[in-house]
Amino acid sequence: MKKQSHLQAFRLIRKNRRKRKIDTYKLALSVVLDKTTAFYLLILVVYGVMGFFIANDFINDYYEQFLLWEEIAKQNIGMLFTILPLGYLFQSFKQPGVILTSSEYQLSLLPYSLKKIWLLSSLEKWLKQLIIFMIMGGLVIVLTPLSFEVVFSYIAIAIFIHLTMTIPQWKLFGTRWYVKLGWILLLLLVNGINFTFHVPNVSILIPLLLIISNILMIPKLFDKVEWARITEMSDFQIWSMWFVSKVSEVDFKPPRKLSIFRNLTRRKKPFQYEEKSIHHRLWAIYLRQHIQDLFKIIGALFLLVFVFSWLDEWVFHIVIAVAIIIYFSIARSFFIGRFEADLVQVLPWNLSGFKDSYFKWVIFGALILFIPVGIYFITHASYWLPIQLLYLIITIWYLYHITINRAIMFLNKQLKSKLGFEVIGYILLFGWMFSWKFKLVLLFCIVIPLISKKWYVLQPIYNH
Amino acid sequence: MAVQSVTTVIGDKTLIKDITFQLPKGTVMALVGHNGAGKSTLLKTIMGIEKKNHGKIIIQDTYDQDDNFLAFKQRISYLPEEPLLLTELTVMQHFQLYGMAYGLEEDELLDKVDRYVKGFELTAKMDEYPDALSKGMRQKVQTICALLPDTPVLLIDEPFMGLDVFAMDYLISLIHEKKQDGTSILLTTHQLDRVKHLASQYMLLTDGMLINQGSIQDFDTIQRGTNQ
Repeated sequence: MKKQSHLQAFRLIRKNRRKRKIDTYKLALSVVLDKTTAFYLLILVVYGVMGFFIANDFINDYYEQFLLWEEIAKQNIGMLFTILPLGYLFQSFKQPGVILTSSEYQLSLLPYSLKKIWLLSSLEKWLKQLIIFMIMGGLVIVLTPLSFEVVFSYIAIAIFIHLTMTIPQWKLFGTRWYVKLGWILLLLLVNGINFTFHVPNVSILIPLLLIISNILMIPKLFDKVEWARITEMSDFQIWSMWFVSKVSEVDFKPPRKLSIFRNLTRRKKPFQYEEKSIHHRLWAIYLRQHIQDLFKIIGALFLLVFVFSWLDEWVFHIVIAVAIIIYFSIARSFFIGRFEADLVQVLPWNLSGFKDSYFKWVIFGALILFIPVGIYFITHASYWLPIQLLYLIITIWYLYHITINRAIMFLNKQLKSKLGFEVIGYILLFGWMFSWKFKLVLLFCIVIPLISKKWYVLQPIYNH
Repeated sequence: MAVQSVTTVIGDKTLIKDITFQLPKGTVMALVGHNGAGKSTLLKTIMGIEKKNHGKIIIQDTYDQDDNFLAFKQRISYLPEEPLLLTELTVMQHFQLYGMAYGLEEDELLDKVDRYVKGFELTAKMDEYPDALSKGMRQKVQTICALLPDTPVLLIDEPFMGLDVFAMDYLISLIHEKKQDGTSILLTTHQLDRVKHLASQYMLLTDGMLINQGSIQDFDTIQRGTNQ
């Protein structure tokens, strides 16, 4: 039997992948699209086509403006050589540029050369990009009064940069973060100089440098390549389908990123043999794994507090109380989650120690959240400001203890909790809500936690 | 350790059905059965990773999993089938994590680490991250972690998976040592011939049910049972 050529094997993988993706999209579409939705979608498409022609008229109305833009574009064409590579440098943090999934990689286990598969994948990428650029360029030429000469020059440069940045991006993907950052800073510096002084020969210098660097890198193209990481990222790139994700409500998560500081000698040293340093690292690992969720939650709460800080005082105070409740409820979930994940799940836990080490992470998040509160305090400063601040600090401190203690009781499978302490927490929040009108409430409420016995060292009730 | 009428349901499937057994002090018990019989689930249920729906698990007649989970957990060490190592901690940092979690003094930890690391030939790998190690080496690291604390109960899920012959022999000698020190050991395995001289008791699981148990001397019975 005749062996398949590289191209045939490559095309076989691509064909099957395309088929599987189309099937997945069809399945997702069948979930969201019934006859009625399809009808309205058709109307939308017709409207879009009409809009296309209307836009053409609209563009003609701005003929003069386009001529001015064309003139600017002509003058700054050289800037493209320094600006466009930046995009590829930034991408190198996440993508190798050339897609080599685990399927393509497995071809190398058969009698196929991975280098040739890489070349085929690159050719496919270049061809796709060429078609995209040509369609975009064609549309711009047809729809706008911009001259063919200018549009063609821009597209030609974009294609040139796309081709010549393929290998640098591939090589940079496998390097440490500071190497990538170094190149980015260097190019930013070049851009800054070029922008300020309009260096005349930059349009010759940069392409020349790119060609030379390509020639130098080609022999080392496959040296020190982390194939596992490349295939992992490529698999994610191929299979993270936004539409399917939304329909199926399944998040496609990128491969777990390792800390950029992981390889520092200091990080590899044994811990000081004390709970504090070990717990600190465990929290850092866990929270970093959930960084996207944390950003979303804290970002949403930040926006909530920020927007309402410009409205009525009473609304703002209620929103702060609500934000605190939500924040601590999430802090509790994350605390419990730490002990239901990875290796920590199978270890015995000194939860009081974990509680102490978790505090500074919770406060760090709260500080971001309370930036708008700070702005509010500054804009509404009064003699009560120190009392208000003290009150908020005491409330947060107190709520931290009762919230995390409740989590500890849950983890220890103890369902009884000290209801009285929780009631005090809610009284404090109530006090805060009305403190904008009745400032004396602050003084009254501050006393409550102080008279509740040793409130500041509240410990969960469990035995070792 | 006493396991009394334990039932574990995950989703709509009953994976462990009313299992009762005693694991006396200083005993090694082999938990055998086909793939999917419920061996790993039983270990995870004892560990509290899987929640049991019914029954009691008590260590040293005092520490009930339901009454004081933290104290209960402090008395079990667990070696999972697949290493659960953290990608952000080096080999030595993993040992420290275990040492700290089980309250080992630093000197005691360092002595044990020194001995086990030499025995498993990991001396040169102390500052490596798990992803830089082979599968067998990761298994060795996880094995050392589980052997560091002197807990009354040791649960081992497929102890020889991925280990080379020398490491297997070394692990068997360490398990013997633990047994002599009074640790109760429950281990799952498919390599029955390896545990024949190690375990004194066996339990045979089929579809989550305890079908047979007794002395390891009845080895032929086990084989017939598992070959059914």
